[in-house]
Amino acid sequence: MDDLLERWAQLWSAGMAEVWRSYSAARDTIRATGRALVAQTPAQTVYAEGCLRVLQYEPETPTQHPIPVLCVPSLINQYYVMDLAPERSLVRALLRRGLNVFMLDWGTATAADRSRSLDEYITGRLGRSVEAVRRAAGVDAIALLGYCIGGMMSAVYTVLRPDEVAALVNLAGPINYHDGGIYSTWTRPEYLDVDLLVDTLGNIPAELLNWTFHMVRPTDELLRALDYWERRDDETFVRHFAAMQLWTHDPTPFPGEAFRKYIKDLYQRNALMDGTFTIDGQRIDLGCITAPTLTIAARRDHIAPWESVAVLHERISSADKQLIVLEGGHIGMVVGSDASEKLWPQLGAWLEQRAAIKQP
Amino acid sequence: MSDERRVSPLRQSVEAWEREVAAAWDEMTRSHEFLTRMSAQLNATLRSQQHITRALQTAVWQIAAAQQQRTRERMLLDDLSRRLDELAARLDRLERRFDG
Repeated sequence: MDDLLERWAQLWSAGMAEVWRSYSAARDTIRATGRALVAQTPAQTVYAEGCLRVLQYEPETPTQHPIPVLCVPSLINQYYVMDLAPERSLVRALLRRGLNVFMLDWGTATAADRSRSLDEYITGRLGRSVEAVRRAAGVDAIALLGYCIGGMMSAVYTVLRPDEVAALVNLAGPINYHDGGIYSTWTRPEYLDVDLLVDTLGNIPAELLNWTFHMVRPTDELLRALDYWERRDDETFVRHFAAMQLWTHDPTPFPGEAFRKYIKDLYQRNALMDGTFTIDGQRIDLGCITAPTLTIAARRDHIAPWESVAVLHERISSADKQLIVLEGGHIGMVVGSDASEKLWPQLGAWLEQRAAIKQP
Repeated sequence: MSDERRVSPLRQSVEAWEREVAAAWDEMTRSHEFLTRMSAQLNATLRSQQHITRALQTAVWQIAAAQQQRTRERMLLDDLSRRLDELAARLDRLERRFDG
């Protein structure tokens, strides 16, 4: 440890102090003014409920495929990671393929959402959002594209309401929560008293969640500082960097009761894997999924390790199913510099084929 | 170019240093001893917050109850004062009648 500290002192005097000063100043400016950089794709609100909104994006092609796509982001991050900046937008890539794209924006949970259960989020809020999309597009079934926790929620929804889901994409959504990942360790019952946490705090504050994400690898921030320092004269890079910085420091609180069930049933009991997970009293058997399903995992994902995502592919009964394991991490896979060459074309092509077939 | 020459060796050194620290950090934050201590600290903090919240709630109730009591006492004093005024007026009237 002394050796590491001594080497850090050398690095600091060799230029890191200047790098960090420059990065810190830029970061403060970004947080104050960066909002105008993100979520720029034109959209209209087609459904609203409390802080939740369902957006429909304006088409970018003369005609659209009949089956619409509803993007379901994580409950604890802002939805605009899928529409980060004009050149870094998964949404825009899907629109260019003629897909009719909708987005579920969960909004920022308030004290009024404290007692809202995970069941209510899945069958209630997600259910009513699916209904709004079906109504807007005039179809019986839609494609669900769930990212992170949204991927798990979309898979569970597909079990509960199979007639409403024409196709399912699980993008880095964890299914097996006993995966050796750091969160599996931190949330073990002997280390995390989830009842005490929720009973004391109510909603889990965004600042606490952000701190937790940061603590997985706190030194990562130094590499971001170096990235910025080396390319601070590249306008495009700085724009993307600013958008990414804004998003990573813009989490939303986790509604208290939903958090309690999420941690207890999934992280601590791994109930989705042993078939004992229930929503509204109904047991969730992933083997019941028969809809066309695409599972996408990232090999260097430390939030949802790829094996814990890929297990969905093994569990479901769909005749039409595909597993893609990409290089990259949980977030880089979606908005990284090579997302437009790796994730977007494969995901877009798969969805395009399924969205072109109108259900009978 | 001068920037690149200056930054590249720095990046190499920082990356190597960061990898080592990250590995040590990961090992430490997975260890039973570290997690047990962190958990105990977190739980103690949360319990303290519960105590503070409860104490504040109790104080708020006590202040509200004290205010209610003061209001009641003020009303009783006002009532007593009004009765004394009435009594004084009656005594005045009786005195005048007796004198007359």
